[in-house]
Amino acid sequence: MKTFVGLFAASALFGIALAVAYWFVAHEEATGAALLGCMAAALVFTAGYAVVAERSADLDGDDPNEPLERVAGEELGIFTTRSAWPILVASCSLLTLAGTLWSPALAVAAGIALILCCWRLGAESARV
Amino acid sequence: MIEWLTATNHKKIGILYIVSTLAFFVVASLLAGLIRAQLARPENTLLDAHQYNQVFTLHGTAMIFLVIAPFGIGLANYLVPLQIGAPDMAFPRLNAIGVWLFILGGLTVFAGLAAYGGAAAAGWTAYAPLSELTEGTGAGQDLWFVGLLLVSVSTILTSINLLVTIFLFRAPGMTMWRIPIFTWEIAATAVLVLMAFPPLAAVFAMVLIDRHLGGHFFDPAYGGNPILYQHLFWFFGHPEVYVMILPYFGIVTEIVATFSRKPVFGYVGMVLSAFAIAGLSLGVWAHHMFTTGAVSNPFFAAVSFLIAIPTGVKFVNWIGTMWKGSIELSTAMLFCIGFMLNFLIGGITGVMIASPPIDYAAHDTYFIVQHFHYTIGGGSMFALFGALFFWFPKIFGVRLDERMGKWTFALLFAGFNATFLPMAFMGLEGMARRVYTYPPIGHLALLNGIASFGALVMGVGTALFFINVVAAVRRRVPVPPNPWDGYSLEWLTASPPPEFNFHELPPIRSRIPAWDR
Amino acid sequence: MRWLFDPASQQGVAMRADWYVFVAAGIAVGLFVYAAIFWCLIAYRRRTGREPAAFKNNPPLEITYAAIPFLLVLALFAVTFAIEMPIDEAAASPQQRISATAFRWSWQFDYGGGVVSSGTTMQPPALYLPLGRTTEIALRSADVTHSFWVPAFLFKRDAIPGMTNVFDVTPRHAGTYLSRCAQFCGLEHGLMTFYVKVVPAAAFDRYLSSGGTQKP
Repeated sequence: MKTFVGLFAASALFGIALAVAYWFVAHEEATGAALLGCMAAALVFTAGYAVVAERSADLDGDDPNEPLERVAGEELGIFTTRSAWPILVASCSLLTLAGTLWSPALAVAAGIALILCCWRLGAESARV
Repeated sequence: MIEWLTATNHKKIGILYIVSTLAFFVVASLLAGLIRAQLARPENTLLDAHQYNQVFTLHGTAMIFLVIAPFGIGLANYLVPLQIGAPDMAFPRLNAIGVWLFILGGLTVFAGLAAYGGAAAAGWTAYAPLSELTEGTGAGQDLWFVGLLLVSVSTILTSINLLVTIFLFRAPGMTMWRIPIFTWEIAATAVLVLMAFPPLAAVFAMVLIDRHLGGHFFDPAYGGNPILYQHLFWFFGHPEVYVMILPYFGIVTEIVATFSRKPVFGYVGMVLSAFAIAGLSLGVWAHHMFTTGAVSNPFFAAVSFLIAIPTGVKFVNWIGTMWKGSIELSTAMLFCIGFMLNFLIGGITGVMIASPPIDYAAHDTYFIVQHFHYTIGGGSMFALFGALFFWFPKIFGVRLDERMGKWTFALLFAGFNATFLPMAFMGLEGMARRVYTYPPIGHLALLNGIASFGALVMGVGTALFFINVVAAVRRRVPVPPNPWDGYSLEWLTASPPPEFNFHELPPIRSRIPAWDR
Repeated sequence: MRWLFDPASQQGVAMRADWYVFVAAGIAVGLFVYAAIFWCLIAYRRRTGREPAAFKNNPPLEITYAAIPFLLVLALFAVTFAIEMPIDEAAASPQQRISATAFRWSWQFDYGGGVVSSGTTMQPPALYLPLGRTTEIALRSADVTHSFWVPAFLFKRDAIPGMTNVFDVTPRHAGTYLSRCAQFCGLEHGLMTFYVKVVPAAAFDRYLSSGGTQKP
């Protein structure tokens, strides 16, 4: 078992234990029980996904004696060094949210711009 | 300029985080100065009630959401890929979205100052229904919620990025049980963020729905429930405390081991305790609600006490790391010693107020103000300065002056304790939190006077630090790759590192690759 | 500060014991850790010709120092639990019932029988309590969340809109105690004070029977 799978499995068990303990002590208090229940469910889902993902994962970083024939970066693909889209996505997010509160027209315009920026960002990241 | 606005390299983004959090730090420190100026004397009239409420709200908000927490995440952005031998973060564009959401969110919070009715004035906790009232807190309160909603989304995105990077982008030979403790602490922090921040985003969205779209989530007149706000907020709020401390535990561990010339003592215990703290911190939120009479106090007291155990393990491991070492008292090391001395007081008072009968007296008083400043200010902030002195040569390629640094430490340490130790007694004298004025009863005038003088000393220390930075940048004396004889991977590349971090990866066969040479 | 040593209520006396236990334990642990840190800084400071040791762990020792705090924490929890339970338990038949309502930014106290007093930020109201009688206070809020804090009783409880919080207090010293709202409630939170006036039971009864005109 890889370390990160064990990590998520242990977290999930802990989440369940905490939720069950809370239920026994204070089940009449619904908000906390619901929050801990959701948290436990999220952790169980993550642990389950980690178990599935482990089968296809084969990481150089997990072998203590991996021969050092690979040079940094080359096997991981090429990394982008700049992109104009992230700052535009962030700005459009702010404007969309502000528009939702004060100006429907702004919300629509910024929302469309946000979708366009996300789409361009996705297209760019498919290339580099 | 364009180069920085469009950067996606993790080191550039890390620097953006560090510089912007330091800018917010300066503003938040000046606001703290205003608070201490107002409270220096009883019944002072320097600020009126509305001004004071905005000042303490922005001070707390900025220090928590825009300085201590994001500095840890931002430093991780810079260091984690270097420490695990990766060329960049897993998702560079997502990383850039994260930093800009953070910066824009922070500026949005402060934009409230220009709004009619002033900035947010409901405290950093913004309890509903108070934060839902429109009089006195108009658009400024909205901008506060909008800005922090963006910051919380930014934190979630960056945490996913950090987790994927740590799990999947390690260099050959860098197994999970060889990564530096700082990186481990960041992994624990990231898991914690993913559990804790979604409820925060949800509760802020609910308040905005109440304020603008006619919702009544927290209004009892329409069947809403004010306690629901407190639950959702603190379900985030207490883990947030650990988001503000776990990265700094990692920083202290690295610096103490380096300047003791010894490998970290109890590495496995350090990792397990980080995750134990993260896990337990998700089950303690209602110890902020002991006095509501609406939660199970024994359950939350018990789980809160348990956190003392993994935290104690960390302390003993730091002492074990120094034990029979060869300790050099560099500035970074001094700040870490200061961290331990201060954080211990914060931790002990923390265990005290986790006991409901004590909290009944201490809650919402200056005793609490003392407690959390000893953890976040005397703890995290001291480790923050330690990190700046330690990694400044790596990040900026120049070294800060040690002599000036030690003066900075001395001023901050003395000033800090003079400011915050009296607050424990102010709380017992009957001074509540978040009051803009107090009567001259008991020893309140004397205690507040000492605290305000201490704040002045801290201000001098902080100014000296920035003078040090400017002087170092102007001197431009280049530094070698490993000026402190550090052991982790980042010290085996140039200072500052090349674009993709390593031209050629060194062999990694242990937890101390740089000392294996 | 002096209330910590001499609380003005029976419940405060019980809670004082919790303070004493935790402060004593805290000082003991704190001094121990401080001593260890300073010992390291002095004994193991860098000197030429001395090599640092190379040990990295010591599992039996590590388990021991995780177990010792666990025992300490168990003991502290037992103390907390024993002290808290009677305080949180409101008596079934209190000798006196008073209703307190917090509003922005003052208080209203209703003693029943038409005796009601209220105040403003400039003229804080007085809450009369009978010396030695177990009094049940029912706490409500008219607008936002407040908190009823009497420093001399080492006690506070939140006043939350939409719910009623009930607790008991048994005053043990006559006197006037400055008290206040502890939970931030907006603009004039800093001035939201009131006075608790603990008076002899006979004077208290006279106050009620006179319809609130004969102030003790």
